[in-house]
Amino acid sequence: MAAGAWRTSSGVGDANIAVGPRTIQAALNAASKNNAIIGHPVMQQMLMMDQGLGPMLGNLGVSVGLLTLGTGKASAVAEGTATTATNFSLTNSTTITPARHAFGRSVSDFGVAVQRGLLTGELAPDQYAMLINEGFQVWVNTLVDKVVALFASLSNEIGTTATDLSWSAVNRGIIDHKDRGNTGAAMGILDAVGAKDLMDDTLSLGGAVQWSPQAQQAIQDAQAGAYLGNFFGVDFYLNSELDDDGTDRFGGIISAGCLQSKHAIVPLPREAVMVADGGWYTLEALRQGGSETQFDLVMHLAAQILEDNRGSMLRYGIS
Amino acid sequence: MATRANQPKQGPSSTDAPSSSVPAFARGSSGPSLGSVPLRLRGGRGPWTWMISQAKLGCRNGQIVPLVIPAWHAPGISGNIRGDRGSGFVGQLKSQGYAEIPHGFAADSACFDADRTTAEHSTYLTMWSGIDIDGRPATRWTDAWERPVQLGHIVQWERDEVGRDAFLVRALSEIANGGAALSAAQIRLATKPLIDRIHSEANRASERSRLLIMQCARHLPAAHIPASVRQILTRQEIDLSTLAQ
Repeated sequence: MAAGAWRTSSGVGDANIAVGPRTIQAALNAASKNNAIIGHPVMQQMLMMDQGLGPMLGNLGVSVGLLTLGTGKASAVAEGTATTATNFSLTNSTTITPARHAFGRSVSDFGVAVQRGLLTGELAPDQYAMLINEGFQVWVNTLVDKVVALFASLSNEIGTTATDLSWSAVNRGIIDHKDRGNTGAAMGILDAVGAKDLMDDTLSLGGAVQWSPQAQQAIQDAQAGAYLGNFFGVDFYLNSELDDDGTDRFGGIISAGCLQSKHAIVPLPREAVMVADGGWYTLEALRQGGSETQFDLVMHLAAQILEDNRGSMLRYGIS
Repeated sequence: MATRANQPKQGPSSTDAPSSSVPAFARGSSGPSLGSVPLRLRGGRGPWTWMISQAKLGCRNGQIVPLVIPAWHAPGISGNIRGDRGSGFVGQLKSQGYAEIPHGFAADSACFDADRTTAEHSTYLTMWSGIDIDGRPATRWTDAWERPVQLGHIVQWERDEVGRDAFLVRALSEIANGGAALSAAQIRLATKPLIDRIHSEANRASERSRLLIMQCARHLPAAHIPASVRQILTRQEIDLSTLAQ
């Protein structure tokens, strides 16, 4: 009899377990840092736009066009001269095609019975709440994975291959980011290697810079949460999901409108035993027999670069 | 499928017969032996196709290399749909001027003192099987010039960077450039970011900035180091000839 992933590897059906747990609490995991970035205004804007694109209806994907507007200058022309008019043009068009993603848990009745009352409040008071909680975490992890997968294909780069990141390189890259027309909130994502590169740099800065509030705050809050600090107007976060090519890690700085996700909302049919409909995902109970339930977490989503110029890849050596 | 069994042995094999001359308690327990411990892997996103461009270049260890983009095959990323093996992502990058490195390209390339003629999936990708942190089966794809070495409870990754860069330089020459030599514009694109960084780091005088300058300078091809960078190196008392490439 399977006991559920949080019990023991020998299964609770075994009456000879030497020591059963008195309480079950959440184990530390690096993915918890994903929660910090999902609430950033840039990510929130992406999700609002996601819903703003509307239901998928009969389409497999949705397309977004970018209109070039307000870039021209008027020419000096003589009176009586007609203008040469052109139509507005869509300079870019992006198609986003949601795909089905699923995650499963199996839980035995006996496991539930034994574990009832052992779960701490940090997890959730009962197994259903815990599964819904985990469903949200898995959705966050999946979405963040889709987002960071796109960093490697951002055309604009900050940093150079097989070298450490430095504040000088980041500063210059952010000026380029701004020069392309970006304003407003921006989010930067680094892994521990990149963050350590920058902190090494921070600790070696001299003059007025070392005493700046940002440098002081970065030192003071180094251990607190996944937020590293606001530098040059960009909120930097530590994250463990970033990819590499064996030489370089791919972080990123993104402004609103750089990336776009699209979820297809797929409600469960009436015959399904629904545990939760989280909007972005559903959780369904499948009774397998043998006093065991399988919980299926299902989501349909995709992510795509919407406008390349609103983002920059942070490239730095992984060692 | 490549597994840990393909790696050079790190210690005694699990198949070594116990010697009767060794005391019973010294022979270890009857539990899983070292050789049967599954590889501990962090699951990944799956395979990809490497994309290169004539215009996306960098310098590493004194040579100009293409900076590759992994076009992931996973559905839900950049126009991919299930079962298309990444053709959505690949097609999107192709429309931007990138070229794909075919999965059968340059099978005779050196890789950890062997070649890739017998590679199962791709001449530049390898799939590893093991278990994840929860003990569930996990697969991880890496490029062929990476391999895991399990040391006790941790996994370290070895890399053959020389072999990988040789493969990429060949791909740049044969696929992106069609056999033509690098143009002056390509050389400028590849070297300018490093030259700019050296100029920028030279603005502050610290041991950290000196280290960064050295790090950047060692990647520049000697033939393309401009006088301005040479002056900075001289001022910082960095001897170019001592920078390993």
